[in-house]
Amino acid sequence: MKLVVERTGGFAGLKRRGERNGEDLSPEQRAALDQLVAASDQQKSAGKQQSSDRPAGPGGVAEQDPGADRFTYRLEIQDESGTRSITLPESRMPKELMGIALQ
Amino acid sequence: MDRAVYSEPRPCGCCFIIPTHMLERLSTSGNRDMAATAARTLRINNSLQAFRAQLNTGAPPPATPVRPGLRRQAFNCNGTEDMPGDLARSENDPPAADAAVNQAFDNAGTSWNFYKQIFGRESVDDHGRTLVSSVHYSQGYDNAFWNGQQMVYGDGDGQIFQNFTGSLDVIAHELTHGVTQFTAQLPYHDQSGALNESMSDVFGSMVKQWANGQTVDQADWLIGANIFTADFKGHALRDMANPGTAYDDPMLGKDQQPGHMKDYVQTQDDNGGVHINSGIPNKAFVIAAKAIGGRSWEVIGKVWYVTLTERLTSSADFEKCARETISVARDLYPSDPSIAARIAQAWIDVGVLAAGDAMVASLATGAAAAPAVTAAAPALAGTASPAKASGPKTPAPAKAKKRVAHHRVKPQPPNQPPQ
Ligand SMILES: [Zn+2]
Repeated sequence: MKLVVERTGGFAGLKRRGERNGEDLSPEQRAALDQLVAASDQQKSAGKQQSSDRPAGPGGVAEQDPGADRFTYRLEIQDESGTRSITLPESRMPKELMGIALQ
Repeated sequence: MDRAVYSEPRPCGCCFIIPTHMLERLSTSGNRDMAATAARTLRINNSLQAFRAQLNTGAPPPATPVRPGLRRQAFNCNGTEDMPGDLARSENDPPAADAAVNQAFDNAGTSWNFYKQIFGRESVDDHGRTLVSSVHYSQGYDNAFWNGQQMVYGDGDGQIFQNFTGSLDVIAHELTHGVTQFTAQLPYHDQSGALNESMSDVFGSMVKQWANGQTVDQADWLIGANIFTADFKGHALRDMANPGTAYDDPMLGKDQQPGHMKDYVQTQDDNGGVHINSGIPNKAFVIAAKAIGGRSWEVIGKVWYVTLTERLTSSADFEKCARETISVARDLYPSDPSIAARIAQAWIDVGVLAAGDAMVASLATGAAAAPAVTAAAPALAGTASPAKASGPKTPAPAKAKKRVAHHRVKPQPPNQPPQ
């Protein structure tokens, strides 16, 4: 498994991107990631369209923090079963995983 | 002394913002569950729209009286994310020990004075709302933002960014997000989001030019020129006059801003590239400002201000903004059609309007006949150098009593005979 973390937005509008192999994640990072995936699955099965998965197509916008110039994080989890992507406002992004975007 | 923390109405922090266009797309999608949920959400959205608009902006109810005067509070988060942090300085307090506290406080004051003296605006909500800033937010946090209620500043990571509070255009940019929230409420995605960003850059730069007493030709038109460490390969974060040329850094890449609609960036990043595509309306503003000449806040600044605070609504895109600025220019300066014509030409130059556009064509006659404008009109409040009026915790001086509120902007033909 490989995890890609992207951070976009912010006052600067600069994109930061980093990745980490699954086996290199710390137990805390692993737990945070598992929790996010579970929450995302739950939202999907509940049919809630507040899902954090960004819709396809340019300009599709996921949940945002209020205000302006906030960061948005996108996690991409790549494994044998394919690639899934979870988009989160910075307020919901686990601290443990933020640093991966800056490596 | 006003030491109350958050005494004003607070916007609802719990509302998700799901863009209507997205819900509409979902509500007609093939997936019945998804469609039903989205349609239900749309109905709820529509019925709650007026209520939510007020919650989201924290706009005071119509009957709320204006509290004239400058009120500021600066808080220190001390490296935590506990908001708003410890109160470090209030209006009428002497400077605090912390430099970032004083910078955030002073630059908020300069920005407040600009809006008050030039446009007669009483704070971000035009009702005297306290300007709240929090500094030293989080650790190594390389950002400044508006959180829907106040301004928040990190210290930078020390590698790319230094602290953000020392930059007047950054602080005026964030404060302008507050003005936009209380007026046009431009949704923060795609073209409306890029317009929201552009308005913050336009007024951010204008505040800096006003504080420095610069003409449009003296202005550097840079955003964030002094927030970088020496290692960064670039001269600013954004170059409004030349979008796409601000930086080219081995680690951060190259400035992606377009300066023309043909280069509009379709992306899912950054809410549809709001900090990227803002280059297009930014450049239109600079082209028009330079064509009109003088000082940016005297003529074109008023056109943009009235457009933002009176004409634009949440459905606005670039073209709507273009047409409204032309229309406002005609309303404010009926005796000088060259102003509207130059603004129209700027929007054509960046590809937002077509050269053959009917609205533009109707201006053509006046444009051709209009004399060149070199210096803008005197006599409007605040056109003098602000140096003596914009210092820390200096309320607007008496001369600002000649209030030029947006609904009271007097048409001021700026075409003085060339000296
Ligand atoms: Zn912004």
